[in-house]
Amino acid sequence: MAESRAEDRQEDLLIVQACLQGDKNSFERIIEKYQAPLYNLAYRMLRDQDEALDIVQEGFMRAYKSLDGFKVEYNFFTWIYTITLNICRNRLRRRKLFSFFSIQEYGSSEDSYFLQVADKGPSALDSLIVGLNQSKLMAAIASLPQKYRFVIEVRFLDGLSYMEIAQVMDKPIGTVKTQIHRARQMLIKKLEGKL
Amino acid sequence: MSVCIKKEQYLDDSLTATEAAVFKAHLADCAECAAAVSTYHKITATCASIVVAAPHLQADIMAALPDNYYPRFSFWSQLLASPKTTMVYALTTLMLATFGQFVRTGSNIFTQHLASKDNATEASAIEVSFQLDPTLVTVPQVYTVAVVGDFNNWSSSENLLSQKDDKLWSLKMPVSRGIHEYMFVINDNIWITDPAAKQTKDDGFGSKNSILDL
Repeated sequence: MAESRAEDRQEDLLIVQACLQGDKNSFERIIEKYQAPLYNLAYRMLRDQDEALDIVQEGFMRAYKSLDGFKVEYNFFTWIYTITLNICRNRLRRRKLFSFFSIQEYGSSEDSYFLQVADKGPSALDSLIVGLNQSKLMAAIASLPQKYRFVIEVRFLDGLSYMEIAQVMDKPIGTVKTQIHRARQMLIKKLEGKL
Repeated sequence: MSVCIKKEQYLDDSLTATEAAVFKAHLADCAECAAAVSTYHKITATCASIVVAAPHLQADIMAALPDNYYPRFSFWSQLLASPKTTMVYALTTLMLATFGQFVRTGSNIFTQHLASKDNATEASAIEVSFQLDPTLVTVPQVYTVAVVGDFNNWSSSENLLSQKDDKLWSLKMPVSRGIHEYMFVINDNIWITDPAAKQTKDDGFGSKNSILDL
């Protein structure tokens, strides 16, 4: 996924240029390409389908209105992913600020995670096995320490490359690699013989 | 054993073809590596099977985009873009003007109450100088810096730092007494911990909030 996004970089730059010259319709291709990973991110963080939709829309709107600040050296996907991530963070902070009740922390429970079995298996039994494996995987990810959980989700569920994760987290790529290696080792240990 | 240490690189797909072939051959002899690699492949396959049913948002978003491109925060362009917005701005201005007039001419009790409240707020707030040295951050080019925290509802558009002589970014602003969490936002999208903060706290998203104890 990350590789194909790298190949798309040139296309993204052309789209940005077209939008800035008044071709609004070319932005539709950007939405089509990136709505799924952005929705995935927002839903995973907020656990609310309507709010996730709202956040993705806001992310695209903010990106569109900020296109004049987009630099050629940026990766468009990383840029809009960071914008969306920051909107999610703001919403979560406001939830904490305005709620009298304890809000479920990001990633603290695996059972509320939105899972949908891919329609690939030929039988119901196959689908059931896939579903069980998904539940075990999400439970294992949810049990990881918070800093590892975030990188593993971004890497394996959203398909960001090490470089993209480093840009999104504003951390050196070496730090990101170390975190992902540790997280992966923990995950493998937790799931060995269980999938 | 020496081949075992190549496992992470193998899983990262960062070995050369020859090194990868050697590692694959090693899997036949090392049950530990073989189990880890097999589990890893199952994990990636399971991740790939998790389909997010993202709704098609193109139509809604495209309809909401302005017909012509207007740069962000351009007050006049947004004002001209929509008659509704113009109406909202006009009404807000009218309400503020009316309220201002009421405060100036209202009863003494009300004015005194406002004054005492202002004094109390001033007494409980301390002027804080936020500073960011751009050489301490990994962002190659810093265009804007904002301070965001629980004291401004984590808004990245309210308190912008300014830069003097291409050196420090700084802002002086009153902050109420107490313990606050904050971060700097660079270029409107990169959130960083204050490199000079003496105390930090996990923010729950893999980063750390800086702590301001007043």
